[in-house]
Amino acid sequence: MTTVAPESQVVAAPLAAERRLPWVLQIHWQMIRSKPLGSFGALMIVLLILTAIFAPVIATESPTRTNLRAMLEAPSGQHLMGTDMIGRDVYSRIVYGARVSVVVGFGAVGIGTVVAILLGTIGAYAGGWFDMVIQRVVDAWIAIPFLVFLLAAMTILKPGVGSIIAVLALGVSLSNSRVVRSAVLSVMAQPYIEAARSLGGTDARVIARHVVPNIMAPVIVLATLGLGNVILAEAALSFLGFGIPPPTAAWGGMLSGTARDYMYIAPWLMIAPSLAITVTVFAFNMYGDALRDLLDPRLRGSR
Amino acid sequence: MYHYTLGRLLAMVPTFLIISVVIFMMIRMIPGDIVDIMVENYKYADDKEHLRRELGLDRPLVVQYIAWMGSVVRGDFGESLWTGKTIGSEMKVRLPLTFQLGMVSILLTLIIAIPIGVLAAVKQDTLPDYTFRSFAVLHLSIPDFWLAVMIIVLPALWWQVNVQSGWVPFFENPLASLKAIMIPAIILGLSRSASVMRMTRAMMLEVLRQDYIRTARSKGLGSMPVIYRHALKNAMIPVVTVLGLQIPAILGGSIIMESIFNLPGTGRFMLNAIQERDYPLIQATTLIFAIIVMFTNLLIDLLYGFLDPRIRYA
Repeated sequence: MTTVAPESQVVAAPLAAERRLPWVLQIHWQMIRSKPLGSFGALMIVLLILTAIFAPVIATESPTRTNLRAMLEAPSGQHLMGTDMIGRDVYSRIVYGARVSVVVGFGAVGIGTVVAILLGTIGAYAGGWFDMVIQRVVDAWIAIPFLVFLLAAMTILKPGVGSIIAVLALGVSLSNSRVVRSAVLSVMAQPYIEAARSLGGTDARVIARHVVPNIMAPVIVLATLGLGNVILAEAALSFLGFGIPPPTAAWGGMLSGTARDYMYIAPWLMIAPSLAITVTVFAFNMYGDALRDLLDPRLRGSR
Repeated sequence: MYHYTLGRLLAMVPTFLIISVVIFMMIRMIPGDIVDIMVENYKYADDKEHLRRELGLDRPLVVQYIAWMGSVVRGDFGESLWTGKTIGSEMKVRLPLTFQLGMVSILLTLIIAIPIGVLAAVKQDTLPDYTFRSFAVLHLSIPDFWLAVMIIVLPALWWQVNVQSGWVPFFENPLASLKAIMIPAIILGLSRSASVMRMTRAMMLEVLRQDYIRTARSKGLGSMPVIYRHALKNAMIPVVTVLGLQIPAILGGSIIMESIFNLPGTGRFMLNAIQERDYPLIQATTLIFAIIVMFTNLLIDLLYGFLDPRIRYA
């Protein structure tokens, strides 16, 4: 099938594990100086995470409290973004919705990336039938449209945050494992791997100390850009009614079902959640783009 | 070339088998048996066991799978458990719509993405470049289902205009047929063009720095032939790869677009099938989607050979 990234594209700058913290700071310092949009994205991501953590403080009401005497109220001082068809405060639901997006996004991408590194590294390093099997499974995976798989999988599992994370993580791990694999293959051809081997390094040591640190640049970039996509996918699922079950506040879910019947008389119901989704995904895309330019110029534009 | 194509077709067999097993097993794991739904919600029959036997759901899973594969290979996708209609006849009506929607979307993706990508590369770091790139990233971030809902709602709200229109088969009335799918196709095409445009720009930037471009320029060739005949042709391979990756996304997007725009296509058909637990239908539609993706991927791999004569599959 189609290779996602040719081997030659993934050339990472070697970075020693001991210098990781200064390296992270260095990259962000560079970003602040040279990438205004990327820095804006980073700022928005920090704000999003803070909103998710301090949701009870920031929100003005409980996100699930209904108030039938204040239905479909236009935005006002009391209800900053108006109220929905059963009188819930839209602003508070947006604030709590950040929690779902953050948890689903980081959860799915975090788990998915770790599994992708395991699958890709072991596959490339071991080769043989194990690699062969993984590659055929990834082929099959690429052929099934993602949304089709998500819908079917979400029908099987009990609806909820846990299942969404599991299903999205599976998707992330399979599609990213191929990029990891090609990165590992190109790193393994480098002389320093041969040197580490000839010095008597065991397979586990070579993988952990030499291979994995050297594929981290493309992996981090992929993960950051993946966050935006995962958040969009969760929104699409919730929109179709296969995602986070109500009454939990989720941005995609706020746009679905009955809310759509009221959008003629209460357009704020449709605008606030979609703005939240767009700004969040835009922030992750901008931050990811900037990271890619700084970490891995060869990957630029490849998406 | 023939050997390569044959080899690639053979390599599709294990992929196809994995997909079919995954689809088959996944469908059976969906809780809420169709027999339960039929008996409890619709009183189709009194005796669950009898109904199960009649639908062939009492046999062991392996037998069901082999029977299913056997008929799929012969081109028979079975029949809907609800309506009893053969899926083949349903598909004959619904597949053309999804096919048309997909083709128009891809065409629009190309028409939008490639000229803009080339322009952004040629005018690197100028206002048009920044504008188009920001738009592309912005467009990657806007949920397309929201855009679709807005495009239906806002004209209706402001001008009392209904942008939805019924679909008719292309050969009956091509204009009305295209009109019905135009808006969803534009939304899908726009959202897909962002990544293709970014890839076109990145590759053009790389190619425009090559020596042979300087040679072409210095022998007095004009800008346009240099860009389109020499540079674009050499920049196309990764662009085509990215384009291939958009096919599953467009198929997935067609599910959303068809259900928002009330189009009787395969995607909406599948969404209904999932909600109604119509096993053969879900299996068939998912499998058909997967087959489409597998063949377009093959087509794209073969296209490489035409784009770059160095990759002729000996």
